[in-house]
Amino acid sequence: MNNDRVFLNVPYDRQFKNLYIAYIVGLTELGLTPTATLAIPGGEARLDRIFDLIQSCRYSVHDLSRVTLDRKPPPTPRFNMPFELGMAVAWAKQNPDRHTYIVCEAVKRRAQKSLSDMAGSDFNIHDNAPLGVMRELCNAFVRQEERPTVPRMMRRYETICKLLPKMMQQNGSQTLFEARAFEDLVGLAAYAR
Amino acid sequence: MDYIGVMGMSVQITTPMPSADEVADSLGLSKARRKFLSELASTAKVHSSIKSRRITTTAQKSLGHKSNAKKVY
Repeated sequence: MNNDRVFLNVPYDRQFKNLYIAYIVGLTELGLTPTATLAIPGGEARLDRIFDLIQSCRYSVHDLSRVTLDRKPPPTPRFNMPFELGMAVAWAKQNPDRHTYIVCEAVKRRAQKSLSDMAGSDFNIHDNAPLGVMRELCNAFVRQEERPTVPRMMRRYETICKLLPKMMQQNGSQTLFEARAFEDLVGLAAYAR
Repeated sequence: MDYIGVMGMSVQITTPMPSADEVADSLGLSKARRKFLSELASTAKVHSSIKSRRITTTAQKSLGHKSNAKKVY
């Protein structure tokens, strides 16, 4: 297990792009290294590899804000995020000293309805905004030394957004939701610190 | 132990801030990718420092700020 690694469980789609960048930049500013399932191929072993990835991380961040049906037929809700949250909760329950998770949502009290098994828990509400993501990450993770401020994290987020076209041009990725683009984004955020 | 998630509480991070190269190691980035990302990040740092200097100078002018340097006749 790596004490700096965070399993990032978020939707991979265009509408979520700004929050996705905000999570990666925010976590990197806090001295943490995000990891995601983007590099894990499909198939039978995928579930095992996702669970291995969760186990290798000291923390996990789960975003449950995508509760609507997607447009692609047949219209379906996305179950991956709550499913992977369930895996992390089970792992943390068995190993409370080795794993800690935080759960984010965009709208207050919605998760208490969509995931009533966790009713009574507090969720980190980011209001669907990068600023909200930074604020909630700072609320959830407190560094004892070199603590970043939310304005500094937002400046870094804006800088990274400006650099993204050059980064994408160089790595040849079609979208940010590819393993290589994800790694480059984390690396760029770390070098820009 | 009931407490397993943050749930409104904060996690204290006590590990030292990793360097960018340590993050790159953890990601398994090649030397070429590190070099590109590091150079790309440093261009932003230069631009941001020039921009911040410009902003400071403009702000000083707008405030009628005069240089503290003594004039030597």
